Amino acid sequence: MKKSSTILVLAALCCTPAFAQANRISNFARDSLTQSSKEITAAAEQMPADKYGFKAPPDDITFGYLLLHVADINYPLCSLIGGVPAPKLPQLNETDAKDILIERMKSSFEFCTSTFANLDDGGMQQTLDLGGAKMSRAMTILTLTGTWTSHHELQEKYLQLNGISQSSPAN
Amino acid sequence: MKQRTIKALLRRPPGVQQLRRAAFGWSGLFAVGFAVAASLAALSARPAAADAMPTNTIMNAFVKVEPKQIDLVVRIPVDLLRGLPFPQKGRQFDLAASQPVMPLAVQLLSNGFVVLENNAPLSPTAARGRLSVDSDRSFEDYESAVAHVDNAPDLNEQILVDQADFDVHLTYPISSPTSLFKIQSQVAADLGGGTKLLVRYMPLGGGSRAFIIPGGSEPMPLNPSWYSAAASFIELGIGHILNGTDHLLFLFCLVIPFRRMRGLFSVITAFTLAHSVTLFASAFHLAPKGAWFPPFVETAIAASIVYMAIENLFGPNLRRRWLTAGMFGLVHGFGFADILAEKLQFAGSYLLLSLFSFNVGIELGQMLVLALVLPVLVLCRRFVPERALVVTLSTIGAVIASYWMIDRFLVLRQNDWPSIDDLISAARWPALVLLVGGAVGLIRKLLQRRLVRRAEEPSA
Repeated sequence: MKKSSTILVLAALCCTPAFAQANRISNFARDSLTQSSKEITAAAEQMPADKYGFKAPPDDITFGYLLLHVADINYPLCSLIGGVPAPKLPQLNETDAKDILIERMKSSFEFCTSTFANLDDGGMQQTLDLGGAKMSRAMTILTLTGTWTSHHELQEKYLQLNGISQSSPAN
Repeated sequence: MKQRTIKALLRRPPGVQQLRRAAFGWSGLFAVGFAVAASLAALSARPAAADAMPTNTIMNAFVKVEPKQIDLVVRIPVDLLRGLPFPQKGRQFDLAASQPVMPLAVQLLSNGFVVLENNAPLSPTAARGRLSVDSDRSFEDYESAVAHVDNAPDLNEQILVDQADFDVHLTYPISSPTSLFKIQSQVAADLGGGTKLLVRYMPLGGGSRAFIIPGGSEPMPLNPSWYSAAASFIELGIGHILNGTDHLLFLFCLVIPFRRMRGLFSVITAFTLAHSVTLFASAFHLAPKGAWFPPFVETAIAASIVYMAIENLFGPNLRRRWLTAGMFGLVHGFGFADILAEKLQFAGSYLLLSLFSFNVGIELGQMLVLALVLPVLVLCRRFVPERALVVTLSTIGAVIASYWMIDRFLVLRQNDWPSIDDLISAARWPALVLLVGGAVGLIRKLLQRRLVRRAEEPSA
């Protein structure tokens, strides 16, 4: 009896789809957030303050605008993913001081960290409304991590164009 | 931050036409002036170019129905999955190091497609995935695609990051192969219609069909019943006319000067018949072809509004308005067909029924708008002198449509000029109207003469 039940349990484990592991997506979201916030913040700090107005044609935005853009995406998307309302913050300008822009970006990542803290894979299929685009929570996470990848690549490009090689962030 | 702005933040702002359509609600006929200002403001807004559009945005899929399950095999350009943490070696993916990421990628993508059976979402019970070079030909047929995805990849294969696809095979248990199935892609849905899911649907018993599903679409039926096809196309027709600000503005300019329903009847009938002719013709591929044609139709629709508004300003000939309505109805029919072309693929085996239903939907929408607009016009006439009302409303219409006309003409100008054959093909439509209009006019005159003669004949 014991043997057959062991076989049954093993068979059940074998048949459980490999993709359905608990909290794999949530853990990915948290890990990616930790890594990307370090990389993006490090790149932002590395860029000299007087280069925050630098534009890299044809990407017609300044480095300062890019940081604000990261924060502007983090707040609503992390709010949607975590089901937590985003804070109402005063509008900043891309020409504001480097410290202010970095602070806004850091606080957006902190907001994401707090909203992701209790995230689990239970509601990953739930459809979220991104103001017209409807996506599952899992796809929203993938979109958000994709923006971090793109924005960090753009930061690297801006740094390179200014003759600055990015040092890897301290863990 | 409002949710409406999230999508815009993620990607480039929408183009001119999208802005215009987004800015106007169907009920906004009286607020069109504000909408023009809003469009201009939006056009002058700073473009957020931080998120570059992926270059490869087409996903290829097979959906195969088996007695107990549905198999979905999809090839997705990696460019659409930039958030996936596949390790790289220079410009290539490190396939050996990528293997631990595969279960995550598959699990994420199992949440990227919605498959419905009789409107109930299905959950995949098995899933596999792998990276592939985009030159791989496995997706030419279903069997090779499945075999390719299900086989372990050669870890020494060289896959360049910017020339890679991710292939996934998902299996969903079903209760019956004859159920109504729908599919939706939520992969990179923030790009909206910028992405396309090419689906080859293979029902049990053969007779496969192909579909192109734009990103951001609602779940699309793969095997609709006749009544669900009819209902969805009626809904599409109503939605199209209610959201088609230019069609509504034309209709509005058409009816402004009319004081009685009797005169209006022939005008609306002519417009309806004419747009039905070109709508059906387009569905059967009889419309002129070429990249120039859609922007030409858009420009002509705007011009039709300008013409109608100016005619209202300089004293319209209401007795002949049915002819003008018929002529411009042809153009608007091509405009209606534009949206239909994309959706007709979802009609299943009910092409004619769906066309007819779409037309019914447009008529229902028109009737609804007229039922709202005409009483308002009657009410306005009580407080505003007739002529002043016609002049004011027509001027507003003319100004808005002129802006559209110029805007659309600029788009048209960017296209190659049509060939002589295209022009001949396009010219047959106005020729048809003139012919039909002339015949109707002739018959009318003959009937009138006969009636006059009868009246003049001395009574016996």
